[in-house]
Amino acid sequence: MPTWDEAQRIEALRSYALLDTPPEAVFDELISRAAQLLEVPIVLISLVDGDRQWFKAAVGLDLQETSLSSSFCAQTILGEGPLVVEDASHDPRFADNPLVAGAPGIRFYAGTPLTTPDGLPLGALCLIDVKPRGLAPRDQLILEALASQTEVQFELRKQLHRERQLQEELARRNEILRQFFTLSIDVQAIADADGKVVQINPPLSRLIDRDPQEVQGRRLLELVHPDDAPALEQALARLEAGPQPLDCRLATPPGAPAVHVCGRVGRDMRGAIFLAASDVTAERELQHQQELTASLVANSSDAIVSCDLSGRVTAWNAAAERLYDYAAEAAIGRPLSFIEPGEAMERALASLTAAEVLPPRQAVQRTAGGGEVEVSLSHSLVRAPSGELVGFAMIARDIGALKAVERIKDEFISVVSHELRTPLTSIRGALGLIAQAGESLDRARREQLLGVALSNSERLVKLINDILDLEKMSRGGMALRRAPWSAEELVDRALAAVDGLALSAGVVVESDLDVPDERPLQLDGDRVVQLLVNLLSNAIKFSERGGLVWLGVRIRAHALELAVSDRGPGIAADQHRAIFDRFSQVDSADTRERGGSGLGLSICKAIAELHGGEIAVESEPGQGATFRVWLPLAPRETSRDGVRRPCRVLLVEDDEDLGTLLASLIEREGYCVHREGSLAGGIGAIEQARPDVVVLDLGLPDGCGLELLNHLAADDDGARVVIISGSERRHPGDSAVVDWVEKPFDERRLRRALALALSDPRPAQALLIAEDGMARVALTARLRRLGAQVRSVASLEEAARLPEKAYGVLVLSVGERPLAAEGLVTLAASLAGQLPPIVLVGEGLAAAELAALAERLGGAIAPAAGDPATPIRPCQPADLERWVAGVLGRRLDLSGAP
Amino acid sequence: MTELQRVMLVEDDCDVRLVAELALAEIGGFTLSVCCNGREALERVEQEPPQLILLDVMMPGMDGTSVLVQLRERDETAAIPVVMMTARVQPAEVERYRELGAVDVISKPFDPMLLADRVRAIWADHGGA
Repeated sequence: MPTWDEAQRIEALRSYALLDTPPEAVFDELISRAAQLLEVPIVLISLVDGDRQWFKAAVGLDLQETSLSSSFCAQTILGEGPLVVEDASHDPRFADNPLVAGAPGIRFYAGTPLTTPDGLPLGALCLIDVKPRGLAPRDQLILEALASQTEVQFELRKQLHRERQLQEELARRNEILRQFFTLSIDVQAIADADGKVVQINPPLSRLIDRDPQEVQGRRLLELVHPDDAPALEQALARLEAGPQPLDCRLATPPGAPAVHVCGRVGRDMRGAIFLAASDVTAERELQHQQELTASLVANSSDAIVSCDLSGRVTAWNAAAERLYDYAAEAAIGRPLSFIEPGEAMERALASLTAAEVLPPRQAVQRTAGGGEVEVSLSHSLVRAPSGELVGFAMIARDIGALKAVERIKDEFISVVSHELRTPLTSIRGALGLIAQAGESLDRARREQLLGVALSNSERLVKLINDILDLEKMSRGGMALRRAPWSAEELVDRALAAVDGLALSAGVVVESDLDVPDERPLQLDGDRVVQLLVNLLSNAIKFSERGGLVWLGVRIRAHALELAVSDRGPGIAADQHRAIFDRFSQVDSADTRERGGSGLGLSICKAIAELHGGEIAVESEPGQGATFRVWLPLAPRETSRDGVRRPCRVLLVEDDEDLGTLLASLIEREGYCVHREGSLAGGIGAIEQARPDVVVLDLGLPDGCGLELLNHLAADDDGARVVIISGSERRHPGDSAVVDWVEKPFDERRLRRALALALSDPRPAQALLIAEDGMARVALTARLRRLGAQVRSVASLEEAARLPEKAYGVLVLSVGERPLAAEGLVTLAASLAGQLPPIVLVGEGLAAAELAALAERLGGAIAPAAGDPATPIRPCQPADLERWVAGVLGRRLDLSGAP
Repeated sequence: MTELQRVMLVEDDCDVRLVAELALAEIGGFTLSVCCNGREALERVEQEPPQLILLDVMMPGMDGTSVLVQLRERDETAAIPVVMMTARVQPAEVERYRELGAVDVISKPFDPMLLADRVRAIWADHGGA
């Protein structure tokens, strides 16, 4: 029984592609050599097919194939080795074979199987003779060798066949790829491992407008837009990790529209590069347009709302969210009438859904909070690309502010018209009366009327000037004319200007100047007076008859503060800003309408701002109003070494918390602060930081703060000192010390001390009060010879009115007239309790009398219990220098005394 | 028709007041009571009721329209014709004065020689019953 599967054997046989093929020389030669070598007439190479044997090669037999019945070869392939039949006519297996029984009358047969390398028999190599004979062992070996040769040839044939098949397959596949490459509408390119183009497909060729041959061998990078070449280069560099996405423009010819492609690049094992991408230009353009539209809608300052045909909201942009205060989620899906119930909207919706184009309209619509918003509306129809109406859009613009401005402007024009017409009424009237009824009027009346005409002409001129001024100021067209002015001058001029108005209104104007500094102020005095006059006029106009208007002027750190207060009706908080606006201050609902031009406060604001300053109002309805103006003053600058610099404060305070508090207070006043916690640190800082002011604590861990005074420069440019003292209250009498602030101190007190310390020139250290003129002159001279700066006045009352508030010593000369203790009390009050040591000089008084007086005065000014009293030193005129020097200390040069 | 004699003038601007006074009293021959502000007018209108009131609009304190409203509200004064004298003559404003009950509006500046005649004409139209 065969050990193989017949179907498998047949398949193997077919794989050699030998059956039914033409004769081949290699097999023909092989069998003719066998016929010669083995001396047989017939040699066959027989292949055993399903039901036949087919001869690939044959000699001595003119047959191509035979049936398998009684076949020698079919028998041969069943065996392992060669089959030898010496006389077939006597062998029952083959006796019936027609070739045995009939012509050619086969008797001898010797066949050896031809097999695959696996042992599957394909057929046989057979020797045939018509005479009976045997096969010598040597001949058998030759037969087997020739069979092997045949098998080798079979294998070669099979290989050849397979290769041919593969080649055909390859050619077919190539053709398919070529078809795709050509037919594709995507762009494709192939490049070698060096990135040189091997081939590009027609779409790519068309888009870059270059022949495929032309780009062969060029760099692949040349195919994309130069700006996008780096992106491709990066993608190519990463190919090792796998195919890379590619999104770039192609290198289209100059002038041609950009072509955007999106796809991938990859490579094969040999490094060849493949690029395949789709033209996405149109999509990108669409996307871009959509993004642009979306961005326009999202960023529009107008509300844009779209609706479907049923009038329900389908889109609601950010501006709509702001305008109506409904979030998009809350609005989408609702009928549009939710923001505007009523007929107008119903009509609009009806028109729009009927595809009618609506003219723009204005409406008052509702917001989420129940508020209303004035809008101008335009509507448009929304159609699908097919032209079918799918909805409509509404664009709403908030015109509330515009309307408000319009109203304010109307109001302003109305007020200005009133302001222009009122003086014109007087002028027109007065002149009309003189012209037409002049003869019936007496001379005084005529003159009165002329005066009216004249003053109202002036009023008209002023109003027009105001309008023009404001226009100029608000456009920055006005330059300030800064010049040195004193605060007194400003106040005097402003008061003089409103004197008449105050008088006729029955209003008292009081002023209070707290300006320790005599340094002139650098500002545009005319403008500042104009500002004050405006504020004062307003205050007077808003005061009841018999009312009081107060003008306060003080120096506050680096600013001049002007304050005008009235006890008028006050201003509601919501008006505090608006009153300074040019157009809105004259709202007719404003109960403070007093017939002003409505420009006064705007002018004040403009003047303050031109000076770099500010204006603000403090007021409550029914509580009067205070307008406060701050005009910055040029900070004090020192020229000690020719270098100009802003003022610096050296703070010497060992207590951490107090130091921080003081530093922040001082900084808030606009000074630079240098902090030290010890005496040694303070002394070191005097040279390094070169302070203008030293704020000095006396109780320092490494000594008494007064030690520091010895290190100050003795000249006039040396730092001035403000002493912060604990409980001890003694005046060091040093000319550098300008003020003495006791702990716990209040902020205002410290501020004043700093302002004082920075005032220029340095305040007097000695205050001389002498009623007698001769005595005053003589004592002043003697004090000056001591090196003290002297301020001399005739009475305690006069002293109390002086702007300076700190002295090292008070020299009180008493003569024949009794001295009232009240005067000293008043002075002490005006000095805020900072009464310096007093030297009481008695002219012609006995020592006992003088001592009694000193005691009486000391009692009168005795402060609260526990506080040490200000020392009052009775002194004979001859002892003046000694006592004063004793009080003022080491700084006074006694050698210069007479 | 009653002849118009007693006229009240309410005007805060002293110069306009002087001119109007001369025009009404000396040239027009009216018996004039003159008030400088709205409050004064409301006080005096009851003490010495005029036949007609000339009322300035823009005045400090209480403005003319508030005075007008109060005059209309009070029974004793509701029937006295009020003529507004104003430099604010925009149509909307004039309309408003009429709505509040003013019988007429005289715009400023006015011709002092014709002021009295104008007032008499208004009196004839509205108040002379």
